[in-house]
This record gives sequence, structure tokens and C-alpha cells, in this order.
Amino acid sequence: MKKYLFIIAAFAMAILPACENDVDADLENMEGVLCLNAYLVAGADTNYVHVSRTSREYPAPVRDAVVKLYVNDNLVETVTDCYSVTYTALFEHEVYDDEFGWMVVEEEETHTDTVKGTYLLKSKFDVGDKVRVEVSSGNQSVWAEDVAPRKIENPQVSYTYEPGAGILNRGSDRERAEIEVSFDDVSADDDFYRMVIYSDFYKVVTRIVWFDPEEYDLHSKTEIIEYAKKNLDHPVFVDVTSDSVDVYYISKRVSHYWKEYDDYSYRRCPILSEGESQSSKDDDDDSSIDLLSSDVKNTYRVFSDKLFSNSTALLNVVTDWRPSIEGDSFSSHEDFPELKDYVGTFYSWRAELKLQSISEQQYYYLRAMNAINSSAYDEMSSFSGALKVPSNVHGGSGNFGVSTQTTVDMLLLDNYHVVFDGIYY
Amino acid sequence: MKYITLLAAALFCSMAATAQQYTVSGYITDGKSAETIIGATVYDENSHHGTASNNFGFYSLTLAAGQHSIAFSYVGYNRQVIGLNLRRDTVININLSSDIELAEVVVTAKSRETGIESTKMGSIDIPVKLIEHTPSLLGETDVLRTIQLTPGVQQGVGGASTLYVRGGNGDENLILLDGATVYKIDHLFGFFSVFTPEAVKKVTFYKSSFPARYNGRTSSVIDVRTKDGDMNNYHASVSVGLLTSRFNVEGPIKEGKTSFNVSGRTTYAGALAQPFLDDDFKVNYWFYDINLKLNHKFSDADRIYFSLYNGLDKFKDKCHDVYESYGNTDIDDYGADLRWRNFIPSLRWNHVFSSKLFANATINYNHYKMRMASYDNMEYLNSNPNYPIRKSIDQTSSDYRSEIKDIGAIVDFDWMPLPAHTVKFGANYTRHNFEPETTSSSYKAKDNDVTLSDTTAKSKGTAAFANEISVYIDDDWKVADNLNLNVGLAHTVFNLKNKTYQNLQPRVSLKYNPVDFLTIKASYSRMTQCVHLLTSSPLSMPTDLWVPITDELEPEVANQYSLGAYYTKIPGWEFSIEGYYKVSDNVLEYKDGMSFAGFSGSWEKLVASGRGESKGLEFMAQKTEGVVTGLVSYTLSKTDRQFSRLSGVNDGERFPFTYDRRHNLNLVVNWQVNDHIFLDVSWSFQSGACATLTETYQEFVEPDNQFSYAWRTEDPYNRGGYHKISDKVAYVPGRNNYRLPCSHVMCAGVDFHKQKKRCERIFNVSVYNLYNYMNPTMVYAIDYDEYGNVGGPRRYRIKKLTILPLIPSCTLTYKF
Repeated sequence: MKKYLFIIAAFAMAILPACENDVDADLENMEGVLCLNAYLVAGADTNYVHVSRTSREYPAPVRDAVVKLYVNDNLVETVTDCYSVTYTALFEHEVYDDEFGWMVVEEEETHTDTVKGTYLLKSKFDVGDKVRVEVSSGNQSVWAEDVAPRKIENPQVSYTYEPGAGILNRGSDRERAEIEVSFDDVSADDDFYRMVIYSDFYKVVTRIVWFDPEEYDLHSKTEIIEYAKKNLDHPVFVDVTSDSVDVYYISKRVSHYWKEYDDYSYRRCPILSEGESQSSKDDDDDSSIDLLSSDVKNTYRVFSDKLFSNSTALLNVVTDWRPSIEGDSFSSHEDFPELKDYVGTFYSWRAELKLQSISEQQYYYLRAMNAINSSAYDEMSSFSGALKVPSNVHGGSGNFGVSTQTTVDMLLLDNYHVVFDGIYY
Repeated sequence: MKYITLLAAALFCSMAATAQQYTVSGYITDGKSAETIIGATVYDENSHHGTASNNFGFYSLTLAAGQHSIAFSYVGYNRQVIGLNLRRDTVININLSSDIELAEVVVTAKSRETGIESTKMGSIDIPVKLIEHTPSLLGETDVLRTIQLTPGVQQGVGGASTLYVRGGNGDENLILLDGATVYKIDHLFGFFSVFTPEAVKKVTFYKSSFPARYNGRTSSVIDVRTKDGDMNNYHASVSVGLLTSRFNVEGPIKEGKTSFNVSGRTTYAGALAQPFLDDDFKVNYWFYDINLKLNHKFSDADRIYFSLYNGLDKFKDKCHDVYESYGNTDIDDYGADLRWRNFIPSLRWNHVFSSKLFANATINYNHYKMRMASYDNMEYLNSNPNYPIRKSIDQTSSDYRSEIKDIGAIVDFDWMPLPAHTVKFGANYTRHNFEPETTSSSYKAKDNDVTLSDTTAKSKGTAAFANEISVYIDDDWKVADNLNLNVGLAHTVFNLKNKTYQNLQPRVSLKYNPVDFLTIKASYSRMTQCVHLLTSSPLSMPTDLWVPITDELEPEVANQYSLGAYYTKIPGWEFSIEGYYKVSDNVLEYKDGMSFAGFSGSWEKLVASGRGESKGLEFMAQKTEGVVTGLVSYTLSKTDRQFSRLSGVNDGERFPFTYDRRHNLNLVVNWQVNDHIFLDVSWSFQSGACATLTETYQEFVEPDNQFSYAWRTEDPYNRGGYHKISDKVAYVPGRNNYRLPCSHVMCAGVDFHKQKKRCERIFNVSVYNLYNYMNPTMVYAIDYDEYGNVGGPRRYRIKKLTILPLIPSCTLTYKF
């Protein structure tokens, strides 16, 4: 933030010539400090605790930790094994083929992965509970505690989006959707919140593949139409990777999933920007300098109630740019006029809004991380020294916070049908 | 109350026991300009009683009836001795002169440094000559940088004006300009102080036993008095330097009755930088100072003064970007305007009620304002006629302000009831109006001139009105010929909306002369501070925020104990040694992870209060006579801070103060080579200050998306699978964990004086950092892959930035 300060400093240095040199560093090679990081959610079936040690190169996950969960001073759970997850997925491996030599093939396999340094808690706790986690490893032990804050009740969410009527991306057809959220801050105390939007933008491409019946043994045209009508109301996801020619239509789902970390999505919202002017420049845009605007983005979307204490919060945000909407040049329906409503590209956009009530210490921790993870931090730390990351973990370092969460699902776009218009964008 | 009763009782007993006595009083002025002289010594050689002229040049000395020989002296002036047979109260106005041809006066040796003569310790009169002859950066003679050469004072960033006195923060110095508090004392990151050297008449620096009339800061007092203006003749001077130019004009408005003094300074640093800037990026910086003083003498008993200081810094930038792609055009206009301003007018009235009672009444106003505004107007033009939106406008703007408005009234009395007592008492009322962090931001969006969004948000920081009332009394009591005692008491009331803080501040000083050339002093002072400056950078920033204490943040209280000895047996030399121990409670620091950057509003949530401790030993030797003069000062000190575990500062662990420098050595030599050439050299050495550096890394886990699935492969370096998304973030085990290398800098300057027909020309050539030593202005740590490979061995390196290498400069001055 306040990049201008450094610009002025740079200006001063332009007048007063500055030099940069190395200094001998004589810092002790200290023992790793035990760190506890956790963002627990009240009411959730599962929560995760991350345990690691500080290191000169990269933090080392701790696998031999004993994690104890206390709720209202009662020990409710002890975990000693790292979190394991079993899943089925495609696995690439190389095989030797007599004709083609070594080649990569994919096979579906079931695996169990252990996430090193992460411990799964299954005990639930509720709003108002005092939650304490103790972690020990070797001769080190740390603990932290927090109280689950009040939950945001009945948030009002409204959104309007129609392709071509959203917010433009500099004249292109990429757009943003607008979302308005309001909720009541029911307490005169200082309250702290987070708001995160997850987007899932996907398309289903449907093509008709027509082959010469004299060469191939095909289904009849009627059969194809019937099958398509039957299935395309609710798009069926057929693997696009198949090269077999006996597939009459291909329906492909392409997903674009993201969390709203884009700056623009909140900088227009005074509450999320906490009254600060936000830079319109991208972090990696060095071509120009915006002196007074903040270079510290509210990456973690935390905000306090200072602008709406004990009244209604009204947040006006926009999503990140959705990808371009365009037709598929291979989705021709000329031979199947009956299928014109079913052939083409179908776009859908689902979003999930999470409103969290967080503790004060978590708010300040994430605000500090906003600053530390910003592009301005390097410049700032050059002038002011490194910032000591705030920690509420006793005996070690890290951050521990308990939040309550309200989730709202939104369907911004539902099977929006686009037919190829013959123009490539 | 007990202190006041005791003081009154002591005075009453003394008065009751006194024989027939009369008072000699008057003003001491410069013989040529009639400028009043502050701190001139008045000494009766028969009774060995003495006093000094006050801040307005007035003195009063009560003596027994009879024959007396009264000497008037001041550094740089000829000593005058007047013999008189005292039979009634007598007014003697003295014109001291540097001219030795006055027939009726006896010229003897020069005066000793008045700080040693004073009962108080840790007080130094900074001679204007020393200020003028201290070699400085870019030839800018500077009051504050001269004070940095005295023992017990640490400078922050090399070359900057900020003072850290006896372990105190930079905001713990009460800086007074003609009695009015100055909040922002510098320009351009502290490299120029706001005091125009030509306007300064007298600078007094206190760092331990503070006079009771000074309140509101815990570490030091710098009392700057400006020139009244020559009552008899017109003078002017013009100086042209590399980055700034100055002027000063003074003279009579009505001869012998009314005078004026006006001085100003401006910079052209911004203009000099223009050729090096991009055409699309316009940036400029500019500042000015104006000092104006008017004074009118109604009679010997009444004078009125009007002072005005007005200083402004202005920084502006403006950019214009045009981006064209596929027939679409994006136009981006953005810019910023940052300015900060001090406006300090004050009106004073001096009245001599009697030869024993002098009064000064002051009303002043102080307005410090900082404003930064920015705008960003983006326009998107789409050339595709089929596209529904042909023109989009996206506008953001913001405005951030912080202000302080003080209005105050002061009344001070100097009462000399008895030869052995000088009593000062008075009261001070200030109404503070703090308006920190008022922000406003707006966003407007239009498509095809249809407004899509028009929002404005305003946020006001915790504005506060505060009433600050102080009453004080102190008595300088000559207990015996070789023993002086100064007892003072101040009571401060700081009234906020919901809370009132009251603080009693006793101050005691003792001076004992076992032999004439040896003085021993001891003192105890208690000071409180109710306003603070929040700063997150070693450089002086306009955004540094002055804020009052709050219901939760209590006033800072400092208790300081000092002991010192002063030796003056060698003619022309003065030696002093002082030790101190200071404990400050409720000092403020930003909490871990907090700073001005990344946060706005709610400053009181970002800071915590704790305890600071400082102890040290200070030595100074001064040579005050001869063609070669100068000083050597050395300070051995240790300062640290400690906050509670729950405060959120350094996990409750004790940590060294940023400017905890163990050793600090300064040397100044002024050599008058001949009548035309003056050579000045200074050398400063400081052992390393402290900095906070990253030592290792700790894990940071994203609050969302804590896990991810990656495509599994047989590649051993990219196994994929289910894993945690985490990053590393700096781990700092403690604040100020790194000790910087030592700093030393030598500066030299030569003044060439030449008397021209109508003026005197002074050409100054100076060099800052003569041997170009790369002092660490600031340091930061970087780590990098040794061979440039991801995952390869990492190296740790500390970089230091030196802002001020060797910098030559020259200044040309004409005095008319």
C-alpha cells in the first residue's frame, strides 16, 4: 500500500544518489520452531490442523505430532496420524509397445495419499464454544485457542447476469457478474468478516458427427436425433478423449473453476476495500505507476464492521472475468435442423458465496498476510524492515482461528446456448 | 499540593528573614540591532548573586541595598560591568556589543557555556554560530542536525533530522517555535528541517531536568526562538544552494519601536528531476517555508510579538496511458496529489508588572494537515459497431486526510522575589482537535453513458477533541553560594470525551560546586506525553500519524534520573560527564504484522503500549575560545522495550530499541583560518542500530483451497496426487534481531567570506561523507537459489542501501 511513499523515496534518491551493497550476514542457524496453522469452521464435519517447523529453505511438515482438540476445556479428540485421503484418478505411466516403443498410457487407479503435516479433526463444535488445540512434537509443544463467533444470519444475496450486459473487460466480450450481498451486523461490538466467492464456469459442447453409411456401420439418423433429444436436456458428459468413430455426438464439459482473488472484484466495494483506494493496476504491471492507490490487495477478503457497525452491511462485488463465450465451429446442425436447439455450446456458471464471521485475531493475521504477500511488501520491507507475522500460537508460531460460515449457492448462467456464427475470435 | 505548600513555605521564610532589598531589572539587547538577548548572564560580583535573561531578554536581580558591581555577559558579546549604589528598584536596559570601544565598560574574558551555569542539567544552549558552522548535507545548515552532535542524541537514518534522545522515540521531543508546538518538523523524509537558519535566534535543548513549564513530551525539549528583527537598520541575505534557496529580510517598521523579520526558503528539487522523467509520467515535488515575525515595543513594560510559520510540501504525479488493440482503445488517466502543511501563527504579549514580576501571555493556533488524493479514470472504446457497448467508463478516486488543529493560550510568569529565588509559574491550555485518517473513496461505472454504479464510501478515523491543561511552578533556589536547588511541579490534565487523565510531574535538580571549576549536578524528572506519532518507517513520512491517547491507551510516563559532573578549570575548555537512567511506561509500538501499509483507520487497534528502558553515560568536551573551536562528544547507551504477552508485540519478549546504538562519537572542529576563510569539519561514528530481518520461513496455509489434486505421474519431481496448498512466509523470531554494521561519516565545509562594496559574499563549499563510506541507511534480506535452480541450495544475503554517499555541494550567500 501507499506505493507513493516509496516513489517519493525513490524520487529523493534520484536527487540524492543511492548505492546498494552486500553486508555479511551472521544469523544463527536456529532450531526449527513448531508452527500450528488452522482455520476451523464451527459446525463443519471436518477441520484440518497443519503442523510444521520453520526452516531456512522451506517449512518442514511435522509427521509425528500429537494434536489434541479441547472444546470448552474438555478434551474431545486426539489425533496422531496425518490426514490420509483415498481417491480414484487417472494415473499416467509409461509402457512399452512393440509397434510404437515407449508411450504414456493412462489408467484409472485408486490411491491413498497422506498429506504430511496435516491432521484431520472430526469433532464438531458450535457457535460460542471455546476451542483449543494443543500440538506436541518431540520436546516442543504449542497451543492456541479461539471462540467461535456469532454466525451471520439470513444474508440477502442478489445477482443479475446476462451475457453481453455484464461489466466489460476493456471492450472484449469477457465479462463480470455483479453480486450484491447484505446482512445485518447485530452487535455494537467490533465484528470481523470474510467473504469469498467460488466460481465454476463450464461449457458443454455438443457436436453431430455424421459418417458415410456406406463405409461405416452406423445408427440411423433417427436414432441419433432421438438419443440427442433424450440426453441433451440434461447434458451428458461423454469423454472427449475417445477417438472411436462410432460416437455420434460428443458432449464435452470444460470447467473453469476459480476463487475470486481478482483485485477488481472487490476494489469497487468500499466495505471490502475498507475505504481505501485500490490500485487498478495488476500486481505484475510495472509499466505504469499508480502512486496513491493501495498496492496491498485485500486478497483474503477480510473486512471489519467499521463502516456499518450495528447496521446493515451492503457489499457490492463483481466476479472475476468469465472466459469468453463462443460457438464451436464443429457443432454444425445443418443436416439436423430438428436438433438446432441441442447442438452447439452450452454455458453454465455456478457460484458459491461463503460469508464467514471470524475472530479479531484472524482478521488482523489475514490483513497482515495481505500486506506481506503483496507486491508492495518487498519495497516496504526494504525501508521498514521485515514485518513479524502476528501469531496467537503460544510456544511457537502460526495462526489459529475459528469461524462460522454461511453459504449461498448461485446459478448465474444456466445452459446458455451459443451457436457458431462463423467468426473466429 | 504538598509540593506547592512546601515551596510557598520556603519562600515565605526566606522573605521574612530578608533585610532591605531592591531589584535591578531591564532588557538586555544587542547594541546594534536592539534584538533582545536570551540567556545573557547577569552577575553581581560583590554578593555573587546572579540570574539570566529570560526568553524575551528580560532580567531581574534582587540585591541588598548598597554598592554593587553587576556584570552582563553573553557568548560572542563583550562583557559589561556596571557599578551602582542600589537604593531603590532600578531599571537598567543593557545594550551588549561585540564592539570593544565602549568607554564605560570593562572588557574581560568570554562567558562560560550557560548550560553549566544553570542549576538544571542536560540543558545546552546551541549557539547559532555552531549551527552555522556545522558542516551539513547539501550545505543546508540545520538546527536539528547540530543537536545530533551532542551526547545522548541518536540520529535515525543518516543525514535525516529526526532525534532519538536518551532512548526515546522520535515523537518524544517537544519542539517549540516561539513557544508553539511544531508537529511536522521536516521536509523530504527528514533531510531538511523546517527551521530556516536565518530566522533562528536561539536554540535551547533540554534532555534531562526539564523546566516545569515544558510539558507534553517525555524525552527532550527543543526551544527555538526566532529573531525579532532589527529595530534600527535594514538587513537582507540571499542564499542560493544546489537544491534550495533562502532569503531573509529584517528591519525597522518604526525605528526603535517596531520591527519585522521575514525569511523564506524553497526548493527546486522537483524541477531538477524533470529531465530524467518519462514523458507520460509527470511527477513533481516542492516545498517552502515562510517565517514572519513582527514586534512592537509599546514601552519598557509592554511589548507585543506576532510570529507566523507557514510551511508546505507538495508532491504531484500525473499519468496518461493509451492502449489500442483490435480497434479497441483503452485510455487511462491517473494521478495523485499529496501535500502536507504546517500553519502556526502566535501572538505574544510581554508585560513587566514590576521589577520583580514579568509576564508573557501567548495565544497560538497550530494547524497540521496532510492530504493525499488519487484518481484513476479509465475509458474503454469499442470500435465494433455490432457490439452493444461502445464506450465504458470506469472511475475510481480516493481522498485520505489527517489533521490536527490546536488552539492554545499560555501565561507564564517570572517572579524574582528574593536574590536567592527565581520562581516561574504559569498555566497552559490547549484544545486539540485530532482528525486522523478521514478517507473517502468512490467508484463510478458507465456503459454508453448509462450509469451502472455510483458509490461513495466515507470513513472517519477516531476523531478526538482533547483539552489539555497544565499548571506549573518551579523555584530556582540558591541555597548557598555553592549550592543551588531547583524544585518544580507541573500538573497536567488531559481530558478526552469519556476519560480524563491527570498527571503530577515533579522535577528536582541540584547543583553543587565543591570548587569553582567543578560542578556536580543531580536531577529527577517525570514527564508525561498524551499525543504520539505513529510511524512505520525509519524515514520521516508525511503519513506518519499524530494521534492522542485514548480511553484504552494511557499517557506515556517517563521517569528519568541523572547525575553529572562539569569541569571548567582549563581556560577555554569545558568538560562534562553525565549518566542517566530512564524508564518510560506506555510507549507505543505497532503490533506484530501491523504497519501503516495495508491498513487504514482504527489506528488504535494496531498499536500496543509497553515499557522502555534506557541507560547511558555521556561525555562532552568543548573548546569555546581561540581560532580553533569545537567539541567532542561520546555516548555509551543501551535502550530496549518490553510489552506484555497479550499486547501482540514480540510475544512479550524484551527487544532492543531500533536506535539502540551502544557507542556514539562525534567530533566537530571549527577553524578560523583567517578573517576570510573558515574551515569546518565533523566526524560521527555510531555502532550499529538494529533492524528486523527474516531468518527462516514458516508455513502459511491459504484460508481457502487448503488442498489440491494434481495429475499423478511417475516423474519423481512431480508426483502429483493429493496435497496441501501452502506457501512459506518469513519467520522473524524477534523484533530488531539484527545488529547493523557501524556507521561513520565525515563532513567538511569551507566558507570564503569577502566584503564587497555593499554586501558581504560568502561562498560555501561542502562535502558530505568525505571518504564515501557506504553507511547502511536501511537493510533487507534476500534469499536466492545458489545455482538458479528451483529447489537447489539456497543462499542468504543481506543488502544494505546507502542513500547518502559522497555528496559535494556549494552555496552562495550575499548579506546586505
